[in-house]
Amino acid sequence: MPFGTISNVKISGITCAIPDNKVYTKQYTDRFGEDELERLAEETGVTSTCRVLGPQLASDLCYEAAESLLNSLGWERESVDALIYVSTSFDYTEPATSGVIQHRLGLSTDCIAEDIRLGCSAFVYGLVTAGSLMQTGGVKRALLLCGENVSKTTAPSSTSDLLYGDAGSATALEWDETCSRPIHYLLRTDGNRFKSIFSRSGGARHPDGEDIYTITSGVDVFAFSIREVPKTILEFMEHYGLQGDDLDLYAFYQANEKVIGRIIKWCKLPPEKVPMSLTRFGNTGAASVPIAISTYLEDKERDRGMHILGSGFGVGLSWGVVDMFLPKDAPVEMFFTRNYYDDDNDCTVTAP
Amino acid sequence: MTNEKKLEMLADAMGVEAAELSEGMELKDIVKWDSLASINFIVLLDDEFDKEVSAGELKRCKTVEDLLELME
Repeated sequence: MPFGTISNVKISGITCAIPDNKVYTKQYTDRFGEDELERLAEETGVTSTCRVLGPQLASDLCYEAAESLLNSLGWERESVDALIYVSTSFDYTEPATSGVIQHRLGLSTDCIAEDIRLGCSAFVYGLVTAGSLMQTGGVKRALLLCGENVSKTTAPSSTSDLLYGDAGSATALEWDETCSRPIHYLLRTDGNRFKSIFSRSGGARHPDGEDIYTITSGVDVFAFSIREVPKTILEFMEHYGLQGDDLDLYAFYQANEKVIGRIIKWCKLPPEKVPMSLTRFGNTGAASVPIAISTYLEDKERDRGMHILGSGFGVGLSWGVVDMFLPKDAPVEMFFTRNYYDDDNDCTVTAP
Repeated sequence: MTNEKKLEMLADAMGVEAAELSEGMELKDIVKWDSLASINFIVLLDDEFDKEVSAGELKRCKTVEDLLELME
């Protein structure tokens, strides 16, 4: 029963960084034909994505988001006790990307930095991991970074590869004993289906294989997404006594319009509370949930805190549901960036 | 439901004209029978026939007739 509750952890802010490089699916007309691309748009809701520029990576987007969020919150660098980076996109085989970001942010060495290798379910797993760490007493402030540069690992050999966009996010968590709204979670894994979304080569088992790109068994993953995911969400809501109207916002992994539509239908959710950030940014993988939250809240005046249900589901197969409370005054920001890290010269560079 | 009606629905899911489909056709010969069409077919079974079909069951279908049989 992987249900659980995390108490006294406040969500202090969420910032998302998007690569300043819009790519329209119609740019691929020569390869796939106009009809096929129109069909793709109709079926999935995606007509454009934002993709990393040249050497830019997910870690750069997460770094920019974290830098901006720390400044907005006025947090001293020394006060951050943990940095968790959750992604399927890493700078190096080793060391962990979280350490590289810790260095760039100028955080203290008295800081836990670790990577978690998850994609679609990144935010929910990362939130639970960071929140759980805070229950142990040593971590008072944590940064959860979820990002992806999937466009570098999918080959545009089929139209479905055009659905992926890149993005980075930073979520600030703070130990706060006055916080009356706990985080609840339900996390699941089905490793029996590990090949459903699969990059066969490049790891230690097939180091020299040619099939380095991610292959998604679309039909398998779709069937999973429209069955197990709504069931899990309903189970979660029933377990914690939540009704559809109790929540202000439902932030889902941005698979495609059809999948989210099925979840809305099966869970009987109010569609106006379910943002489809994929229509602007495509499927942003690990960053999906924070991007969906930011898309929904970026131009809204908040006169109260928001009770949010988040769900990520996919590669692993790994999925989960959380509910959390975003205080009224917590900053929620989103911006575009052309910056990346030049590790030879240890500096940030802006792409032309 | 008549097979004619089912063919119409199937054609709609594939994004082709019903006249382009016949029961004996092999799915491998239908260009539009791809993952998007398969996903539409899963949704169709779910909405219109209240039926869950697994990806495995779908993969075992070789002809248009096999798909029509699922539409019960």
